[in-house]
Amino acid sequence: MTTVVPIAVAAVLGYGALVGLAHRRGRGWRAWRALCWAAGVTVAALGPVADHMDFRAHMIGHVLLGMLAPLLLVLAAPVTLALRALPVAAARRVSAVLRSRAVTAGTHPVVTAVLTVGGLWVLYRTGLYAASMRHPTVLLLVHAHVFLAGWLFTHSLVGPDPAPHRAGLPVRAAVLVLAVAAHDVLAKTLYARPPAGVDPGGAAVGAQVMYYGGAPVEIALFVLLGAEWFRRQGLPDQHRPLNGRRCPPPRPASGSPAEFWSPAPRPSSRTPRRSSRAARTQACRTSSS
Amino acid sequence: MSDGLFHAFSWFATVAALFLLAQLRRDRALHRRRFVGGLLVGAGAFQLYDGLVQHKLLGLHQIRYDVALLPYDLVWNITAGVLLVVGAALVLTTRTRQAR
Repeated sequence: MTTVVPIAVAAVLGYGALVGLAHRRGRGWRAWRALCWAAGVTVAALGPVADHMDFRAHMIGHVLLGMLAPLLLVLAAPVTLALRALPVAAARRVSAVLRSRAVTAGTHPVVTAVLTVGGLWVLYRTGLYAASMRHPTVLLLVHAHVFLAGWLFTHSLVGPDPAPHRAGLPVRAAVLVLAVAAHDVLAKTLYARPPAGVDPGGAAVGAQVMYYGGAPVEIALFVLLGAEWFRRQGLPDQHRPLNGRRCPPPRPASGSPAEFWSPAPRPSSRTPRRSSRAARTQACRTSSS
Repeated sequence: MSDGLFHAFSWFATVAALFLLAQLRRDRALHRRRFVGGLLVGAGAFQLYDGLVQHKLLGLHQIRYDVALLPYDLVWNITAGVLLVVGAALVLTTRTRQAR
């Protein structure tokens, strides 16, 4: 409690200061992202507070600290904000760090998934959980790991912050499915076989909190991945891979200005409506004219 | 084990399918009758599988307990068959020339 509150206050004030700097430089910042940050910091601060010697409360803390708070903090886009607010030289240093080999390797989804879900298996399937209930320092380290690994995992999959070598969408989707599966399998086995030092009744409730409480966050991650795919599909053809398709040549710009400005003819009734080629051709022409 | 995988993948498939549907709508390429047909084939096939394999063959769960099951089973599986047939008819009648 005493360690968490100053960090949380500093995080909110620091973000607020960056928003102020960005405004001074003439760059705006969306209010909802700032709200995400404040909410994420609050949720992350509540997580450890909820964890009180009781497995049910511990699991609520786990979902808040390791899943919900990271999602909110990633949506708050702190790195993008920092790049906007900082002077150019400092921003360059930040982006150089982001492009470094260490950050690239450390934010690969396979690495972050093993860190976060693997960490949970270690926590509940060794004596670590029981030890964390006895030693406050171990508990603090466990909280720090759950939170940071969860944040890194979320950032490696989704979010607006710059991630210069982020893995492709299929890799991220596959890792997310497997990580969610490993998380839910662990929850199911905790229900059947409690971790060392936990009574079966508390373990059953805690496992259900883990399984059903984590689901909304997992679904939100799937939706964010899908939204990224959807946005890319909607880009004009010149901004996405052609995959063997060719842009049809632009229509010759002959005739009167009136003809030039008239809308393109509707696809004739002969064109099957369900073929998406018509729409794509339209996009090609718009982008190449 | 399989429950966790099922839970994870089914949510992924649900979300991904909704985005695919949204893309078809945006491209004005959604064929409604064929879409509904596919939906009915899926629902009917799953219900028939559930009713025959999971209820009867494996005896995993029943529609109700401590009552005569036969009418329930009949309604369940006949409904499944009707869904399947209507869906298949919609899918087959909306085939395009390229698909044949």
